[in-house]
Amino acid sequence: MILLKRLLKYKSGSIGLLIVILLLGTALLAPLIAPHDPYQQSLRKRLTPPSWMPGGDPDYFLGTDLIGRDILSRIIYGARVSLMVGVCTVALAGCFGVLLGLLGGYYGGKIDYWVITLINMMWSFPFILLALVIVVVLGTSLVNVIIALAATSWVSFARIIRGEVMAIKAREFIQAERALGAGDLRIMFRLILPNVSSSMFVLATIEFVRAIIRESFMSFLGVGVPPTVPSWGGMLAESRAFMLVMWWLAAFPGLAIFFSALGVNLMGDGLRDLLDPRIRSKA
Amino acid sequence: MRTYIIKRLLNALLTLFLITLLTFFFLALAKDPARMMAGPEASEEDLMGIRRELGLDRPVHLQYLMWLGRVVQGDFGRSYVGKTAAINMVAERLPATLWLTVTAMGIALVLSIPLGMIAAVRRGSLVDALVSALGVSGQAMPLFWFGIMLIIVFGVNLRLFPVSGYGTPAHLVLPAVTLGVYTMPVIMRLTRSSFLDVLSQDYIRTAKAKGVPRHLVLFKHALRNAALPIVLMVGMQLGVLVGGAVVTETVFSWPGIGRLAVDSVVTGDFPVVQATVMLLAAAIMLMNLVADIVVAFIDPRIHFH
Repeated sequence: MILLKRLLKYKSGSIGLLIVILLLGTALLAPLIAPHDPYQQSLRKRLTPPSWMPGGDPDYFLGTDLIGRDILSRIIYGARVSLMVGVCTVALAGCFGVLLGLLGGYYGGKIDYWVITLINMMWSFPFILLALVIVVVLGTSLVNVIIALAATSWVSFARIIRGEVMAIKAREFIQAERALGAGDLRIMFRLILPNVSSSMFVLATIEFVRAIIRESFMSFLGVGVPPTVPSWGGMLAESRAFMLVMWWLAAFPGLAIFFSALGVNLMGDGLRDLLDPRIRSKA
Repeated sequence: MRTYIIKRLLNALLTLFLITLLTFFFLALAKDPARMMAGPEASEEDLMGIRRELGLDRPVHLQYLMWLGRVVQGDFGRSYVGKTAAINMVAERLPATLWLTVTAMGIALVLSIPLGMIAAVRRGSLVDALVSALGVSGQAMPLFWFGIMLIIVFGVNLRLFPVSGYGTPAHLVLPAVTLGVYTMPVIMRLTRSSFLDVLSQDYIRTAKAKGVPRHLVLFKHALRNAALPIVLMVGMQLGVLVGGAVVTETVFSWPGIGRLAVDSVVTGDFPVVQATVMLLAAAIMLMNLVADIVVAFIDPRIHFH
């Protein structure tokens, strides 16, 4: 709560927080706020332009897609997919990456060598190819997309947390605990982990944005979320053939991705400023 | 320094080996290449014949060792789709990707470094606010969507540039701008922050007090010292650029390695997937190493271990 109050003091951070709350609200209340059923087709009303354009229908504010489904309602429901992909990817990748970073940074030696080699390997692997290969192997589904994205996202967590753990483990309070007989597990999870939590939060926001953008690209390529589920990337993929002449088909789902990413980025920047004592003292 | 470079190269070889191992075993779990080559109506006997011919009837670890033996000799196998040597297919696409990435990096550097510098020098001004806004929105922009928007505005509506294809400088404009703008925000924000750091140093104040002209303070004293993190970041961004090229080439139907890689993953053309993954990974590692070496030349304080 204190963190939230402090975040609100940062202008960009509060704008970010507002966008994130809006995104969360849209996802949670989708059935209540969506003006139409996102799956309902109407071939008579297909490719209707937005309501303010010539030929637009006031019932369909952002127009309809190529089988007559309401674009606004699909964008509202698409927020659920993006949010789920972002949260689950960050949770999976965060757990794995932080664990590896903790182990490598704390134990050093051979364990660290292999952690670093694994990090370098993933760092050199073009992420999108790995994600595509994983989805091709496992098949296209929401869960598999999340697995594929998490498999590419853990690297940042491991890399940054490892560096921080190496610095923290040399500090006096850790040595004092060790001298008092604290075991490795206690030192790692009770003493070091809370001290790297601020970096974890900031990394989580960065990886959240990456996950929703990557998911949308995978769906755009047809190897992401199954086409039956309304997702922003999927909407772009479906309208590929028409989007060059009917701009609204591409513009609105893309703007939804952009503003969500912008909101989380701004909130992440605000959090970083807030949690970094050197910056906070200047603010 | 020589020992450092040898160590890094050996580590890169180990990393590359692990990448091939990971990719090979992943692909072994995926579609059956024999069925892909023979078509849906092939008999079980035909499939067995193809599997025997390709060595796919042996255990996976033996297949991998055989494959590795051939790769060491420069043979990545034949494409299942194009029926030609996979490495030739990749080599044919290399110039297109190089053109795209080099031009995009050029655009990113030409725009981001001066903008970052101006923002730092005029801290708190309207330019600084605009640069910050550009940086934040650039990082939130989905690369492929930005490409589509450029196609709609400059290709379809204004008809200024071709919307896809390859061959003339006009074809290069939209894909290179897309990829360049994607790389720009990080370099721009870092240039700004490292310039702010440097400009508050004592030696800059001394230079100013001595009456050194402003442009010399900025370009000789400040730029050289601020360049270190920027060069390192550019090295890291080259890797990001390669990943971005995969996306950009797909949107603009640009005949480069990235599009070849995506197409071959989707169609299951695994020899080509392996060849592209190895080449892209090797390129990323090499570029990071080059960036580290360049940094050592810029900053004499750095010693390699």
